[in-house]
Amino acid sequence: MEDLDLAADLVRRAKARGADQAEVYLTRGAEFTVEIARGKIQELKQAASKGLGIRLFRGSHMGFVSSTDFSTSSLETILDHGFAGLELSTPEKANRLPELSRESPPDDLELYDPSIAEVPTEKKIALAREMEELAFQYDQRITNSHQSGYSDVVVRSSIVNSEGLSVSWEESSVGMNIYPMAEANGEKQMGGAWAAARFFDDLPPTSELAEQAAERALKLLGGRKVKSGSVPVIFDWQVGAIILGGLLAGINGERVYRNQSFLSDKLGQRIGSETFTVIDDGRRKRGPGSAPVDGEGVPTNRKAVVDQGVLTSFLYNSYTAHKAGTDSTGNAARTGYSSLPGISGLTFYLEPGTESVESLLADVDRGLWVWDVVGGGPDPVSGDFSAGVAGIWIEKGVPTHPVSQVTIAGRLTDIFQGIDGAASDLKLYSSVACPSFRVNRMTLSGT
Amino acid sequence: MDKRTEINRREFMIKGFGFGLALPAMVYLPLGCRPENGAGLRGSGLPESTIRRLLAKALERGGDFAEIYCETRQSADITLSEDKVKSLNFRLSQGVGVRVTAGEEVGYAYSDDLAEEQLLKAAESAGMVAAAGGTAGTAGTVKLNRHDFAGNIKVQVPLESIPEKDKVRLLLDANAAARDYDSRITDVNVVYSEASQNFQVANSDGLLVQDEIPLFRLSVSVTAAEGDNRQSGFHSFSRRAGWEAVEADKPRELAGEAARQSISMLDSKEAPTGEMPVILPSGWGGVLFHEAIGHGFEGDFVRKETSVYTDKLGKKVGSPLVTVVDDGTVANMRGSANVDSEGTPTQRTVMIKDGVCEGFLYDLLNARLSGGRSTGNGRRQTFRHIPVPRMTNTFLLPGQASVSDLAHETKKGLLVRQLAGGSVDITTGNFVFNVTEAYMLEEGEITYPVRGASLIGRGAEILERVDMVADDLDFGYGTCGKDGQMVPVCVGQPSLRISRMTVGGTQI
Repeated sequence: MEDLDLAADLVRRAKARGADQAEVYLTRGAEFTVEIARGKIQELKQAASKGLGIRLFRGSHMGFVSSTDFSTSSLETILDHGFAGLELSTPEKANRLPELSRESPPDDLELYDPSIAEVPTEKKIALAREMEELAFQYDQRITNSHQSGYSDVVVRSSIVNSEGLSVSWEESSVGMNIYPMAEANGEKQMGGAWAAARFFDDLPPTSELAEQAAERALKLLGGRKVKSGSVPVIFDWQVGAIILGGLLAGINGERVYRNQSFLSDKLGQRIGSETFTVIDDGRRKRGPGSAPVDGEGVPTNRKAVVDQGVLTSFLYNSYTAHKAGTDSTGNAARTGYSSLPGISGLTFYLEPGTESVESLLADVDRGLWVWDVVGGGPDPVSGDFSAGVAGIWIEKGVPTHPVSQVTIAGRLTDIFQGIDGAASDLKLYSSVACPSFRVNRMTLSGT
Repeated sequence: MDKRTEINRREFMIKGFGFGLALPAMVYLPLGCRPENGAGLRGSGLPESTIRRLLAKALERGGDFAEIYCETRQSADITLSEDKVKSLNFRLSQGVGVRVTAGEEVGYAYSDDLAEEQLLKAAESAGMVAAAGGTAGTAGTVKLNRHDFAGNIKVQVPLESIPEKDKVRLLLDANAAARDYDSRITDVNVVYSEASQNFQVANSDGLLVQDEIPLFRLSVSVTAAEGDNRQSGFHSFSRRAGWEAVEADKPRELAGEAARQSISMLDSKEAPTGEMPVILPSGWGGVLFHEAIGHGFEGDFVRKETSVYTDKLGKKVGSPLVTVVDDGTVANMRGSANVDSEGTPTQRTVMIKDGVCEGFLYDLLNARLSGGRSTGNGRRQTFRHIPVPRMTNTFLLPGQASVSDLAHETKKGLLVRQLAGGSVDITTGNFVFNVTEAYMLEEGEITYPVRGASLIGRGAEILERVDMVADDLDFGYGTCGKDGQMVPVCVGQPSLRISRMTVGGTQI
């Protein structure tokens, strides 16, 4: 394998130049995107790209450099910078590579769909066109379209280090999105829907997304403020991930050991209701965040991070685990070849329930069904959450009118504790995903 | 846009695309580089003969415009946390992007392999879009004219000429100053980043431009803690300039301001909810106008009629106290450039004059389709991205009032001193901002600090409700996300008052 050979050679050169340990993370991939608006191609993009990052360790110092150019001269240049930078970093015992695992990485996770490359470009363009046409046909009040898109990505990642690690795997991702605009009585409203999958054939039909997006634009049209108060809030499956994002940031091992998280001292304690069970599954087949190993080659696993409301695990990469005096949880994440390993969830989701969304709404006397988050989010340091939202007002269990320009707020731990129902509509379109769920009480600010 | 994290709503939604996958195309920071004489790198750009062959190949199937963008970036950053210099990172990236347009349709391809054979392949891929029509190109014979441009970005002492240990010193100074400020400061993060970007743009209209611009940024974020109560503070400074712009006391100034914010919020109470007058701070406060109004002036949204300002040219859109400009020519400013990513010289564009909508921000494509001229706002993150209309340095011009008048003339309201970031829904103009530092005002006097507030409203309404504008124009530095592309920008405004705005807090 060409990439593994190149990486191994670079590790050898780094060692020869005096590194105690070295690691090369190399990616090579191809991307395709088409975006349609009002029947016209706004962007048709195809490209192949590559890059590599090198971590160097010497005497507990660490250095990191990267390049898109694999020529010998460029690689020597970045190594020069790497060794120079390393000298100026503060030595830390935690600066070392993870130990080599005996476990051989699984090869049956079904992360790569070879058929994507065989789908003709014309068909991909046609899908985006068709989806937009379906949205326009859905209702005559759909008067404009911001975008209807199709995109796919194929990436091969390779990691080689001086401790004997040599691993390489392929992944694919294919997605579609659509943002139509509805107009009536001088008001405009955008709606949106998207889906993504590892395999081309796992994408939902274009009609499903077109209808969902059009329906959202139409039903949110003419939204108005409602009175401020403390009310139950139902998060739709498309937007609830913003709450899970607060948990994810709160259990990030770096925040935890630095006491920068509202959950720093909560391991083993109840932080949520019985309904609140969150799974981090790096081994889920075709999972959007699944991978055989993490971003520094540590085997991934499946774990509950919150089990029926009890916080059971933080997430660590090897550096933060060393700092915290524990083991890596296989959650090292690379956002690209040019960044150091960070921390993220793998396929990270709120365990679904058995109810339908309608039954979550049925028990609500007066409350808000949130469909769209305009801005804001969780603050993992203080544990506060606030966001601007739009959605549907619920009265006596029944949707009544659209709501806009309101904010909802609360402490994340109160929100977790307040989750009193989860629906069965979980869709793993994103590496952080959730079904629709209900929070018994949040502060709503309107008029 | 956010001054520290860089996620907006569209980013959040589009995460569904490519989800867990890290595209190799993803660049950690939108930074540049200086030309490198190393054999593998093309700091000097592509030879004209190659450019002509690429343009010809790009237009082989038709199309009415082709463009070659060649870029080399060299960037470095240094991070300090827990009193330790964590790492000094260095990055090299280079590549060529080829764009073909046919009517309003755009084809794009790029390659990080600069072998001509690979570039021709990219040109062919980009040209695929022309299958739909367009006029056959004559680019094979195009004569390239080198363009000169104004010197908005002047460098005296190149950043790369300064030893790394001097840059590390900035971080150590900032860290010490923040820790010294108050014993309740428990955590300090300092990041210094710098970049040099060399780019060459050529197109089938015969344009040929090459430029090299630097960028640096120093930012300090701190946490103050007292028991379970944790509050954060943040401040940053950035310029497209050389080392001469890094003043010796800058680290201390940034650290002091970040520390002040976090300490003052330790005593905060819950924020109120409901409508009230709101005073927005000078400088970074301008992010509200950037988001809530600025994006709606970008030529693509206007042309596609998805902006609320689409048909507002010449019409009153706000209070007569409001004049907003986008100015890419401000000397050495973070959002400035000599030419934009399409080779058009940057300019000062009046967006709103005395409350009347005066002009929109255009790139080449949207200007052509709208029958106008590019305003030098065609920007892209890297060679992997198509240029789209973006703001540069966008600010509201100063008024007559003094800062103290604003508070004194407010019976009961919210005085905001720091905003985090926020985002806007272009179609409705609805926006949300998170407030990081604010105080309750009663009878014109500050009473107590409040936490966890957000501001929500509709851009058009807020513009109408600006009823006092002070004379203290200042700037703030951020990174703006749109269509998945991050670009450095500057926002600015004087202190101003909005007569009525919805504050979302937790106290009912």
